[in-house]
Amino acid sequence: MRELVKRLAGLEHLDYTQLLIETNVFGRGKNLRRDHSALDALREMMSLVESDCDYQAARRVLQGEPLCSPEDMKVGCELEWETFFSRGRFESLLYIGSGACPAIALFVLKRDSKIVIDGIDIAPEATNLCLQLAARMGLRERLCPSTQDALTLSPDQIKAYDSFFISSAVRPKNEIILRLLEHKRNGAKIYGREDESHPDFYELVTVRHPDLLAAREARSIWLREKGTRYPMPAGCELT
Amino acid sequence: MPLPTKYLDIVLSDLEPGKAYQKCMQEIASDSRDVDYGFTEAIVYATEVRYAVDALTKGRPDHFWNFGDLKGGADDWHFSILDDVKNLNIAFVGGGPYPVSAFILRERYPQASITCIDNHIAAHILSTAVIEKLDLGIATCFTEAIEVDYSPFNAVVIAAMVSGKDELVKKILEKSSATVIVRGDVDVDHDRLHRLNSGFDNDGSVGAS
Repeated sequence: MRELVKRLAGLEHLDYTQLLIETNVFGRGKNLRRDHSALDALREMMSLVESDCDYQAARRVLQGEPLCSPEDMKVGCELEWETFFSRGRFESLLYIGSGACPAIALFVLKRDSKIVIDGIDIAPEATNLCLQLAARMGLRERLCPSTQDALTLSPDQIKAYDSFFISSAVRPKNEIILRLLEHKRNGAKIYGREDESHPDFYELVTVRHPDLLAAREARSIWLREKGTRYPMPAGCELT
Repeated sequence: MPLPTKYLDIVLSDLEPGKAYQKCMQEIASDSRDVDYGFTEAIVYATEVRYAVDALTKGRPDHFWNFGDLKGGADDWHFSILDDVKNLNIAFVGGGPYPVSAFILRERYPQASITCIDNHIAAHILSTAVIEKLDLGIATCFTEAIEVDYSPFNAVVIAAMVSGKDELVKKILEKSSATVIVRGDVDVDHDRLHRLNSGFDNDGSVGAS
């Protein structure tokens, strides 16, 4: 792990996909020897490249360029659409960890004319970029970002939604899920993104509840119903 | 919590971003609203992000002006201190996504070396992009302010919304010979320290007064 950090730190440009490939526990990352300080450094690198990807995507849209594809942002959206959004007929979603350019929210808003999405993120620059991106895309009434830590959501705030979506990078994910489960209205559903191939960087969903769909279960549903495995983004392969 | 619609309408309007910010401040005063850090921060960031996006989209604005300086005179005050410093090497701490005070310093001191330091990744990315786009020749550094080695700098300017200013100021004064300019309250006295009361406390929040 230390060697990897040294090598990556020496690169002029750190690519998100490359970092995902190098640290995938089913691939090249399988034999990395864990080291606390190296892991911290890798976490910081991951957070940086992921944020960079998100902010650059928002910046490009705000500069008049077309919205990049979810694949360009190293995320897929079909899985969540097929297993969660298209079945839920949701009207009000709270997206936790919405960032600057929330690919899944934009994907869903394009396909569902009724849903309204509130996004929260702890980074004020991200929510303000998202605010301006939503205005630029004519989505101001349907995509409403603001700055807040999910752990400070009040019971009344939580009860206002019929669905919740939690990003991979959100922490502490399971604590937040437990809080949502405690206060949400009956029948409200939660989707928890996770990344099995990078558990040191993206917290896995360990809570189990009938109203909670974690990404691993979503992939099982996909496999069961479609007969093929859900294609994972580059670097996140599970074999 | 999201900004109330009235404020959102202002920050997303066609008003010049700084004018929109000042209109928000006027509305806060006329509403006799209790403002907390989150509320002020949301308006400040919305303004700075709008400025950054405008700069990236439309290029250099007509002029740089310090929209957050509601009382006026902050720039002149900066100049009155920094004009006397030879071979300026300035660290600007907490500039955010659109570090306009650093831009104003760049115009005043074209030969100075200026480095903007911020611990928010988006602020770092956006300010770096704006600086590059406007060809301002300012370096940027993504790190915690407290971790920076200030010994190479002979002037350090600390923005109002930076938190932990007491500890930071003490460290800079101890580890460097820099002239330190800080906006907001700090509980430190030193002959190299210059304070401009801005209504922001040590933790970066809006003060009670």
